[in-house]
Amino acid sequence: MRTVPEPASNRIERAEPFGYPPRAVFTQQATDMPSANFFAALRAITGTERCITDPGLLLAYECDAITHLRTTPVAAVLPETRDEVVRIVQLCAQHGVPLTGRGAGTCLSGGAIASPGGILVAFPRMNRILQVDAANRIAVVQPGVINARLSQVLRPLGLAYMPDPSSQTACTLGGNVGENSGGPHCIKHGSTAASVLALEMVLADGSVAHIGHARGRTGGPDLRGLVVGSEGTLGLVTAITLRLERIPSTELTLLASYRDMRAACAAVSSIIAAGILPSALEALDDRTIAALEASGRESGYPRDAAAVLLIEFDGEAAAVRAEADATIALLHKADAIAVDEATDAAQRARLWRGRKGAFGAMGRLAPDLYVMDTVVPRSKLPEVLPRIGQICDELHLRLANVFHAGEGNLHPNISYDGRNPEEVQRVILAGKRIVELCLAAGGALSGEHGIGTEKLDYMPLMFDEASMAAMHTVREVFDAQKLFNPGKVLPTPRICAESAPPRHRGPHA
Amino acid sequence: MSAPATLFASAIGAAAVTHTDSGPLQGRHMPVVTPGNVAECVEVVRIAARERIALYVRGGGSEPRTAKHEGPAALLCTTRLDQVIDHARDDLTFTAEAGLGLTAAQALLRTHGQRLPLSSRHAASTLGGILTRDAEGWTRKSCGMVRDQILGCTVVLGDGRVITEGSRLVKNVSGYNLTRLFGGARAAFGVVLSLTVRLKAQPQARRVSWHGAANPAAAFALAAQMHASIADAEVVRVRIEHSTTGQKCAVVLSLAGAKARVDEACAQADKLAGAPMLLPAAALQEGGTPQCVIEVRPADTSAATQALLAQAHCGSIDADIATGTVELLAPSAPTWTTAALQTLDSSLRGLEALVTFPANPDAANLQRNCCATPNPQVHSLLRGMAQRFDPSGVLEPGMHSWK
Repeated sequence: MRTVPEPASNRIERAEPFGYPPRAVFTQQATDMPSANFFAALRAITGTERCITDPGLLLAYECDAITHLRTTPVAAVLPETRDEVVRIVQLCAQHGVPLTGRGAGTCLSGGAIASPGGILVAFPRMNRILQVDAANRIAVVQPGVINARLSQVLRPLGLAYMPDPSSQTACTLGGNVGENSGGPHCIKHGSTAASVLALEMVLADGSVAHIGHARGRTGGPDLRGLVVGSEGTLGLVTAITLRLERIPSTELTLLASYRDMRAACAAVSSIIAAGILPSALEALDDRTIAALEASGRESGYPRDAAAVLLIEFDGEAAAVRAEADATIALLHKADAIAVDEATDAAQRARLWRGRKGAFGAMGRLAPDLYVMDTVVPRSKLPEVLPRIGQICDELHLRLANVFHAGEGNLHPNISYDGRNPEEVQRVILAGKRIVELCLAAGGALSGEHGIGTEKLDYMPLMFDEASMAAMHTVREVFDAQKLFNPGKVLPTPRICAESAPPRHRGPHA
Repeated sequence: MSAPATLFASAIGAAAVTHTDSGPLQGRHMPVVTPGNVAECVEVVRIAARERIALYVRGGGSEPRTAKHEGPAALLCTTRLDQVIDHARDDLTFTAEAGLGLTAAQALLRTHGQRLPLSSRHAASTLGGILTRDAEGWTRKSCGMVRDQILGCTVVLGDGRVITEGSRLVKNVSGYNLTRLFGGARAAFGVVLSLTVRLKAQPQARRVSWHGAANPAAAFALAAQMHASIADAEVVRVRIEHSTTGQKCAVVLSLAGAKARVDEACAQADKLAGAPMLLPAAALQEGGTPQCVIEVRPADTSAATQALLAQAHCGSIDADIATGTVELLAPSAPTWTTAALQTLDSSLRGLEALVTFPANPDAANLQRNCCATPNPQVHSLLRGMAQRFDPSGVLEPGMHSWK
């Protein structure tokens, strides 16, 4: 058995994939390669077609949605059954090969990329909805089911699965479990953890654990809640039992426009402080609106506003009306230029098309887009947002904000050119300063994208040594060999205990 | 004074150490240590770990539990850890020490038009107790499960280390969510010192009503109609008062929220069931600590109720059809003999049920998952974590089947 290498320090280099212009990326280098016997055994499990080792084909798996962090896996396997997953895990344990689970690769923190010398276990072939129990409002799915597809299947039954990440037309429910994904409607209905009742999971020794229960409680510690959001570092989930909700009888959507983002954030704070709980409370700034206009997406957002709030209520009609009226009064009190109510389903859909298409529209502004994810207390939004703007101005970076304002979950989006290493350094430096700013305001590193590789070195900024050690303890109990997605979520104890050495040249120094 | 009592008294003062004969180690005279602040509580755990003194933790005492343990032991009472640490009114979060009572916390928040989305039948329940027991109350349907309301906590582990997990934010996925792990764990891994809970606004209006029914079947049918037509009802519960002279059945309905909506929903309910008898809001908490709780999938609520009715010859049964929780509120508990438990198991056959006996010291450790698949992997993981977090094994020995 070979020793599992700790992830090598990321280093910047000029990658030249297929003759495209060189792009500055942080790669992790494998220090050891699995043996030929390992690959032969892997092919024996999945067959050659579902065991990808061709370097050209593996480029599709070298990064997730955060493109400046890359590692090429030594293989990508696509299991179709739980038994295959078990055998893959057992094989990796036997050969000491790291393995990383991957859904659609929409992760925005470098969590769904392989570890050096490791394989990717991708789940697109495990995409069956195994059961829908309408009476108990439960669905059982495989991890490769796409989020939006489940909602489509449930709609005729009058049921819905509520967590709706912006990438829901592509992201998988297994990936959502790994990241504890959120989305615009999580302010009322909760992130993924609130909708996961139970998990079937392959552990490090290849055994299968059933964690949680469809009835909700197990009468003991909540391992289910621990596993959700653990970014694939504790095992590989092979089936998920989900709580469903009725489709609300009424939905009402408001669009409020403001002359500046500070006023919009003040309005958000006043809505939250009043105890009003919308089902969505989103904010977009003028640069995002401009990007949407430029992309040709018809959103209906006012072009002359510096910021807009997209607010939705769901529930019974009278309750929705009462909450909306109270909110409209608060929006005007906070100096809204205008507050409009979507009058029909088409208008509502158009407003949401704009919000959900915002990241795609921004992707047109520059070759690369860095979608950051941090959280602050909601009352701190008016003071934190302008500071983020200042940070990007100081570093001459193009910033746009589209975020889950009702939860204080910020997504500063920085458009940049990855072919310019110096600009990449400025982007990452901005990320560090934004993280520090948010932590100083009482915030957290991530609201829904996870730590992954991206924020690994920031963990000691948020957690003290004892708390980090407790997380390492949990990791060791689940996976003593640390083969599941090593180098994600938790920095090595050495880094935790000492001052963190730079993993990325420059900005973290 | 016993050796453990002397050790604790020398560390945090003699006034903080008393004795009891009614602790979890039945019949044993044992010291009760009541630290006055978080630092004292940490010191107590560290002494216990160093001196190998078993610690059993009690909040408001709403869940009598029993254990068998031969060595030195003490009861750690958290009720003096009752300080409010932070009330972020505009952010709707509340941070307090674990021994703060739910009733006191709710009273404080009521003055600000806010509330904790937690509930308990027991007036003495503490916030820490609700977290560590994962104790669901009548707010589960409207607010969600307890574990989704707790945002973070500070814990002294069994080895004396103090860790802070989670945050005071309503959304956070930074690192492992160990707060979830401590939920439902009692004190198997550590003693919760403080916790942060999300807040909700007080509803503008509330009505709790009692709608009589001819028999259990009629009550369940009416409850199902109400549940289907009033999706946002706070509570839809079947109440069966079961005695030797017969049964009195009803649906208890609680509506809360915007006044216009409550008025509308009241009209819907009354149209379905006729004019009800109105109850005070406190009626949702009445009945005392349940003697037996069965949790099933919602569609099996009626079947589980029938199983409990077959066992319980007096008292009341509350069945929440939205959450699948059936509680026996007998004033005097049936004797949960082995034979009685076997009968209950047998009558629940086909249902995946979690059965607990929260108020019956003789049966408190008989919690069982009827028909559930044995899950040795989960027990192994829990045991592994307990061994690491509490290497001396001083936290609640003999109380957790997996530890």
